[in-house]
Amino acid sequence: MKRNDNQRVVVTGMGMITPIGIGIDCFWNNAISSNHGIDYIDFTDYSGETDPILAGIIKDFDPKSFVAQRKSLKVMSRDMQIAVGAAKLAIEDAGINIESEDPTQVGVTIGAGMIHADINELGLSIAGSAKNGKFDISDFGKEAMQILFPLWLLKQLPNMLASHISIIYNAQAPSNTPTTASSAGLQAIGEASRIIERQNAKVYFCGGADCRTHPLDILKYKMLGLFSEQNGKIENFYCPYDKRRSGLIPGEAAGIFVIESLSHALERGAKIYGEIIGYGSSAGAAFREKDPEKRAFIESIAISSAIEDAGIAPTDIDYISGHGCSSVVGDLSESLAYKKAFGDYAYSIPVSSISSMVGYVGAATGSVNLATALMAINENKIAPTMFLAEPDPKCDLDYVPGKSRDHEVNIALVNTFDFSGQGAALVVKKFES
Amino acid sequence: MDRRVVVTGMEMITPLGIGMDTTWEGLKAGKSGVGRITSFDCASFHTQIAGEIKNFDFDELWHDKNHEFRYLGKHSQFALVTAKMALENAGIDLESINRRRMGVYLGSGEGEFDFDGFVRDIMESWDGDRVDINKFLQVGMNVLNPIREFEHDSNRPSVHISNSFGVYGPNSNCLTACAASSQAIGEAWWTIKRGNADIMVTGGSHSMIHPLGVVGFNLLTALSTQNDIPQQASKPFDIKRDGFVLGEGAGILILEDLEHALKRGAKILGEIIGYGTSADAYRITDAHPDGRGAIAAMNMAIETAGIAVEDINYINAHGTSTNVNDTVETSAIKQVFGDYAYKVPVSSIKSMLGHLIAAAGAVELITCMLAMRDSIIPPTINYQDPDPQCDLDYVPNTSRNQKVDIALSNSFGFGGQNVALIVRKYENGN
Repeated sequence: MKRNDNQRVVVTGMGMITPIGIGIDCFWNNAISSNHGIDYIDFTDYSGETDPILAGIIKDFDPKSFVAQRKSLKVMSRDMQIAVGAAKLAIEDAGINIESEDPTQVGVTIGAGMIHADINELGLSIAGSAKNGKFDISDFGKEAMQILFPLWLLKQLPNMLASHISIIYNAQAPSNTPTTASSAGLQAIGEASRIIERQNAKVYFCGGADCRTHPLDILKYKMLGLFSEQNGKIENFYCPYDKRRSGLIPGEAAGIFVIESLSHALERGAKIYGEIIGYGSSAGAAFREKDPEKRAFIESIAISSAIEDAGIAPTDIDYISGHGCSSVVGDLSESLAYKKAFGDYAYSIPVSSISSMVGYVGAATGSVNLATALMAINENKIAPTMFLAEPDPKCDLDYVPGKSRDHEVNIALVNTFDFSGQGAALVVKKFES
Repeated sequence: MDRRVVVTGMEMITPLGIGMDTTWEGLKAGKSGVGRITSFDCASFHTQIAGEIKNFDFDELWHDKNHEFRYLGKHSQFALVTAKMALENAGIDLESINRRRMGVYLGSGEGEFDFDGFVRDIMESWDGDRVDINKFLQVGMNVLNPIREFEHDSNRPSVHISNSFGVYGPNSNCLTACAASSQAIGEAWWTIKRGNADIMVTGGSHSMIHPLGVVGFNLLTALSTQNDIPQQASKPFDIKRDGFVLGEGAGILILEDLEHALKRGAKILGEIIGYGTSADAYRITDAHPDGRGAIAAMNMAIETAGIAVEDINYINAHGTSTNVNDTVETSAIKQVFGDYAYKVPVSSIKSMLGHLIAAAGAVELITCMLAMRDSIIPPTINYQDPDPQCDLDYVPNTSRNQKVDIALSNSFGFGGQNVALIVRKYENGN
């Protein structure tokens, strides 16, 4: 569709809180230097010792330096704290004076994951309802009211990520919370860009934040056979598109972007990282769908619809910031999807996975992927897929293994496709006035 | 961008019945679907009442004994059955349409937490004052069910619908608390208007009637504790209201591009003409005292619809029966509608169904469509003692025969989420 400057949407700020760094500069430097953020999960809140478990871990994040009010911190889960932190970094990076904006023209749309309760806290209310070692629900109703704090439920509501940000910055335009697992963040960005396009707002905070390292997540991924084997060196089990890959490594991350209408960005003389020109989504594969062709068919629909929405040809895409989470089925179906959407041209496009360095970061996947794509556009450099050394013969595209590469990127495709079935694709372009 | 979007199918499952027809009969008759909670032993809970769905037999209603469906959350079970009925209602032949141009956008809540499994894991791994992580992880592998854990996520209903019916187009799920399914309908509406799909399956599904849901809302002092009078506990706009009553269920609408619907000779049930949404940006718990966000959402909906406030014949209120909501909503309606606020009937069906949380908005929009179809406005029941701050015409206690051409439905959620939707009767090609 033809868009005027009030409807064209550009990215002007990036706020990253990720296993490979806090702040976009740190994130990018680590990404192109192949410095991964995989480390052992800290279980010191619990008693007992377990075999070490690897995950993408955010280091040196001090929530107090991002949230002014101590009282607010208490009602924020870690997902919320890193989202709020990333929003602050995004604003600083965008150089926007948010107080001077019309609050009805500033919106917040943040993709969120399932937020689990603190198991020590909830456990205390359960253990307290047990007489002689046996849990009794006829005590639990009273016990839980004593032990849990009044706003306990609000720590688990996914829309609170967006809600906290909207309160801090007085952002009163439409606010939404996609919850489509690892496609949620990219869907939030795609949807926010369309709300600006339809001129219901001029500025948006959008992206995703998620922590997937909770003990219940680890149990879930293990029980479902999605967890990496974690024996020996990382590259022997966690290596997207590699024949040795055995499953995911969970991670935590937040990536929030400031996007705005082109006219608004030009008016305030903003630095522009790139323009969002196309968005698409799809779904339809059952979780138990083992046929990679069926999954690839559905994934390719999101990709093709984003390219169509952008009004470009598939051959205009110079780089794909891909999903690649080291999933046995997922990496294969993703590769097949590119072949379906691009035909033979698929072999000519570099594809890389930043998840190789940060782990499976759920709703934040689209954010880390978009940041990687936008930096590629600005620096003409592609971040690599780490740990890929022994290519799977069925994953035979150019995945930029191991080392970053200089490559001119004008238009990039950003892709996510969750194992639970939903996919999203976004097309971003180098900005030309 | 000027594509018109109509409703060609709709269905719901509520505490008043499995299906739209029984629910609508109950709503018209002013019946309550609330009772004492039966799905778990609620004796120790502050609140012991809810609007539960009765006699819901998924296997019988869904006709698919596939192993994958056995451990679906209630949210997915309700959504699948309701979507199936709504698609039948719409008369869509899935084989003959382009299913890449048919999508799903739900505002469903999460499934039920596996409370029993979690309790077993905690009991075996508790170390006096905290969890022994090694035991928790080991025991969890045996006592938790992988499919139940997986099916807990709020995006499961939207994926199950796309997969079960082979609907491959735009797909999302949003969870903006009690405004979720209304917001989903609004975004699905835009998806068709913008030309990204011809048909969208939309609405929502949710149940929070489980131990942690009840405790969570009790901690917020949001629920009614009038346990001795379950059917009279939800009393929106009445001065003796003391909180909302939990309900559960699903509402699904089939939205369609008007041209597409006409071409296939579909029966058109009504047209969605307005959608407004905003954030309060005030507090995570309370609505803005002036109803700032609610006003903005209603104004935006009216503006997108291109109508005057006097064109609206009925307002289906969010009307939760909490002290703050009902006062603020009343005040917001007055600020948007001026003097006309006293003339337009406003009712809350949460007085009968309880609050379906994420699914509430969809069920309420379908109710607006039925009010237009039958020229009957459902009542606000249990309305006995007026609150001087709530002084509008709430259609107290009995339904009213009145023509409705245009209706507005409000949904507001924790965190300051506000959505307003406007539907119009579709008659003689207009």
